[in-house]
Amino acid sequence: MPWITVADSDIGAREEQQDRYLVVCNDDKTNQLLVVADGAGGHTKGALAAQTAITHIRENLTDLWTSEDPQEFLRKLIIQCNQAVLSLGDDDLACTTLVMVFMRSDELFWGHVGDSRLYLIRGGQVVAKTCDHSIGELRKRNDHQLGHQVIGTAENELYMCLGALANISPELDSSAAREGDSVLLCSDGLWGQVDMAKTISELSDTDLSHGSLLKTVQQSISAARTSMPEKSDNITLVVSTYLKAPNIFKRFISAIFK
Amino acid sequence: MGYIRVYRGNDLIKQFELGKEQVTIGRTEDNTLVLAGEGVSRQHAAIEYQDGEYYIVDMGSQNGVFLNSEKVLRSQLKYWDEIQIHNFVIKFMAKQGLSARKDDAKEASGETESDKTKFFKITDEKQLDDLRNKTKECFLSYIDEDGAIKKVLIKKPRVTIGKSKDADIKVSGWFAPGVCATIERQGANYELVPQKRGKASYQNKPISSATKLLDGSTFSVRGRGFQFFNRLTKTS
Repeated sequence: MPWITVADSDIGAREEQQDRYLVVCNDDKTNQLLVVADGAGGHTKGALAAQTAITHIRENLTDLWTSEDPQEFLRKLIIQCNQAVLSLGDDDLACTTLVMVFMRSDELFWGHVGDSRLYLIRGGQVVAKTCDHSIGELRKRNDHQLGHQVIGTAENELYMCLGALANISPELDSSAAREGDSVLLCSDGLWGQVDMAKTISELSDTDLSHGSLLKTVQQSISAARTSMPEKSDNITLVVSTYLKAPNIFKRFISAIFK
Repeated sequence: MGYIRVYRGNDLIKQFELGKEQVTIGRTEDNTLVLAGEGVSRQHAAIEYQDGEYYIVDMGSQNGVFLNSEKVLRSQLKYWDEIQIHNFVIKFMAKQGLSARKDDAKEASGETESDKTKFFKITDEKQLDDLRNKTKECFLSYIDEDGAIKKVLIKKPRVTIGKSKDADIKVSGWFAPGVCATIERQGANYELVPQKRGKASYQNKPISSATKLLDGSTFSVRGRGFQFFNRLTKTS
């Protein structure tokens, strides 16, 4: 696997963990899928929505690994997840955000709805970032009618998520990763409670080993939690760093010198 | 069907569904919607239903009724309209927000959890479509060996130019490597990444490292000229 991946989450100060994440790779470990879902709703409903999306993804992955058009595959998968969350039925709020990234060797394909984010980081700089489906982001873009039409509504309200609308339009993007690049997926419990610039720089300064990365991820989560001790949201962070597999010749040489 | 939310400043103070009967708005208790404030007239305004539409009507108020910041006497309401009366804002929408019962009850009683994610429902799916269907279209144009102008849409994160049979765009030449250069997507941008012996140049200058491609810029790989386009188009 050319990617080193670590993930962790924390319940924060909430009674229930409504964040869910998934890290899964194909049989020969060349491709990987990362998912973060942040559920919202009444008692148990938010967690159920997030879990439903994750379960649907896990059960419908087989064709992703060999897909000719991963972007389109992800789009359909997210739309199916919306149907799955909608079918939870009843009147209680049961919604979830969803951000997922498919790594095919060094090619990245991602899609999202809601305000859980993906960052692509290179040399401590953000190369790409998802744009939240929130009123605040709409307003920042204020070139669109809708931004004006919803003046006065809270910044963190979402206009798109899974489980609210019959039809959704997931936002999709892709990039080519380079040696040392990191992909970071997180729920708003992280990006809303810490200075992301600091988190990104700390991650970029971390040794590229599983143990060191996990330690940094846990420290970031802990920083997010302690920033709001009384009312911290659920926090989830998944980080994956791209390292080219050393070639066979180099392995051979290093084996000799061991 | 219509639904209104009444705000004073940022506080949601009341919300209810509209029926066919007139909703009167004013300072005195005999109104359907009572807005307590010096700047609100006794009978200030009304929301009326007629032939499937709702209208906001000024009932002869002292300080006027504003719809989306414009003074009106009678005006039809559209979803997402905001009616301003003194320091109150009345939002007109298609449906109750999804989270309205729980979160707004908290807002009203002052126990706002500002960090809690809330869901705002856009019921008009056309608006959502409008929002989403603007995407960038990226393509290359070049003249192939037969002198025909080719257009290649860039959909993949990496497009390869080279002699290899797997290359997306073929170039020939005795010493041309399998991959002469790649075009790599980097978030919203694309970069031209030269490879060894690829002889890549951007805007007529040879390059040796990844170079950001701008809309309309030209580059060449192994003597073949390309033009790159990255522009906003409506896809629907």
